[in-house]
Amino acid sequence: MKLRIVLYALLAIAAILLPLVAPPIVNNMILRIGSLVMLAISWNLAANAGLISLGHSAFWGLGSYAALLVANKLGWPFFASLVPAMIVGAVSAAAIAVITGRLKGIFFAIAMLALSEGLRVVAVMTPDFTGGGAGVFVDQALRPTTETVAMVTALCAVACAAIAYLISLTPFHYACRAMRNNESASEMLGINPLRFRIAVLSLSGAMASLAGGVNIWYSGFLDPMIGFDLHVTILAQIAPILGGIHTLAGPIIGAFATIGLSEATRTLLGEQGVSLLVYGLILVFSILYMPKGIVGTWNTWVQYRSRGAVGAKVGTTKAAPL
Amino acid sequence: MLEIEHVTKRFGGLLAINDLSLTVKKNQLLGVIGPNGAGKTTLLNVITGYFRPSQGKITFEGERIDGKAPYEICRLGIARTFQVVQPFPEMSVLDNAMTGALFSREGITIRKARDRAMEALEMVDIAHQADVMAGALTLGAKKKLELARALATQPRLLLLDEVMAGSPQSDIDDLMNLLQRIHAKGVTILMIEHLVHVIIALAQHVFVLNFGQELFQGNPGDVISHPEVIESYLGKPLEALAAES
Ligand SMILES: Nc1ncnc2c1ncn2[C@@H]1O[C@H](COP(=O)(O)OP(=O)(O)OP(=O)(O)O)[C@@H](O)[C@H]1O
Ligand SMILES: [Mg+2]
Repeated sequence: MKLRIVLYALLAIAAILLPLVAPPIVNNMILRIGSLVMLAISWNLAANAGLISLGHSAFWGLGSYAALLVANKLGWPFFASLVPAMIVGAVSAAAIAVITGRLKGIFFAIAMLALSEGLRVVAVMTPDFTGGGAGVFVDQALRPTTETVAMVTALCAVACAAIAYLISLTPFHYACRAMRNNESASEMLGINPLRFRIAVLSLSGAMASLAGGVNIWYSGFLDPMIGFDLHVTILAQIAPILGGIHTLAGPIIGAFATIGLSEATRTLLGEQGVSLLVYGLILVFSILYMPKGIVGTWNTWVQYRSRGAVGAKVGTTKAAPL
Repeated sequence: MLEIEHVTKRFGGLLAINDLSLTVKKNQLLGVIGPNGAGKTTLLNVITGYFRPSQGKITFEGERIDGKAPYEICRLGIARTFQVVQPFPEMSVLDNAMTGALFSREGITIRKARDRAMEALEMVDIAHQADVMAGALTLGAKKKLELARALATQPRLLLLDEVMAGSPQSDIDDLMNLLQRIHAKGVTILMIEHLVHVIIALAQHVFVLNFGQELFQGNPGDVISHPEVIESYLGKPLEALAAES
């Protein structure tokens, strides 16, 4: 166990330092994978508490605009701009938790979808503030090097993973799973669902907004279509579902797998429609045939192997280690 | 300990509980019986804050609890089981019980919660299945788990909604034994049960509910011989019912 943690820590450090020596194309991958790791962990945290979001681009976009506005209007540099990005994400998520109240499942999902679409319309209709549909460039003078942005992306992704891990060791993790399984039964055990809902959504919102905030410094440009892109919403849930929903490693593995797959199909089959089609089909079939994701399938396989060796024990479905 | 005063619960035009008054004394083991639809489960839902009573007042250890949320009521020391079992299927048996221990009191550590949960699981005799996913348990084991989860909150008042129903006779004997041990530890118990012989054997006081109202209350012996009670059980003499089951 100790050895494992040391190994993970070394991997994390390597990932953070890699941009210093990597060519631009690798840095581009680090940015995309790192952003998706953050989004996927963020989405999975909420899902773990039974809150399936169909509008994570809302947080991504709010974070993007918060960082952009403090940079362009107040002259805040890269690092400083990430703080208001996270705060805006956390506060808006807390507000959503209160407003949506007891909405769960499809109802919560639709509420989130409506929110992100609504925010995009608002961004288009307030050009003085957001630059409107034409979009806005980030103040060039403030922009850090690509290497710096890539390093910070990796760092933030590692931080999100570490936070998710630490949370899994606390009572919070028990409350979230209990609420997901049966909210009314959880209440009879002393759990105040609203409180945990606010906490988990705030954290989730902050992470997704942070990802959005970091990203504008790489792209240097933002418009409502990029900020509140449905694609972000979809990726944010495909990655954890592909990797293994409700697991720690799932969102991370899923982010690598999703981006890796997209790159592989693109380089093998070209930029055009066929590669997108193949990419989509592989995703669909993976999720169909591995409903528990890569992590779940792996665990089942390992269990199957070890049980075969010891001799099958009937009727004891062991709890997967998280 | 628990005072229910003139409580009414209406669902539209239906009076599920009708001007009901009931007192549970400290250390009592109170049995509640009544035909289907009498309002027994509704009574528990009103006590535990799932429904706010339409009228009336409920106090627990002197504190007014009607209008409080279920999680607040839990923290005051009231636990319950559900008639239709509601374990957390995607959590292990141990994690289910730990959830009960973790949130019923402020500031308990995970380690302490684990000890307390294991204690509760041992008490109901499913500790050997601690690592099993709750969803994979048999119905009988789920019922035991639900009881363990309630016990892990360390309640002073335990409300049971037909824990025995559907269990084989061997389990019923175990459960009766278990409830006696819990009661002996100083936990006050209000149990709803269809199995009349169980109530007769365990309860010190029996409350008969019919159409949301008190039909009769008294000690077990008097209840069996009460004509109106017999009638509300479709005319079958309760001795016969007891002998049957
Ligand atoms: N949420 C609800 N909404 C509307 N009516 C309800 C609700 N819950 C219970 N009722 C009605 O209230 C009455 C009492 O139901 P309750 O479940 O309390 O009975 P019970 O005594 O527990 O019966 P059983 O022995 O079958 O468990 C029934 O007529 C039932 O249909
Ligand atoms: Mg009932």
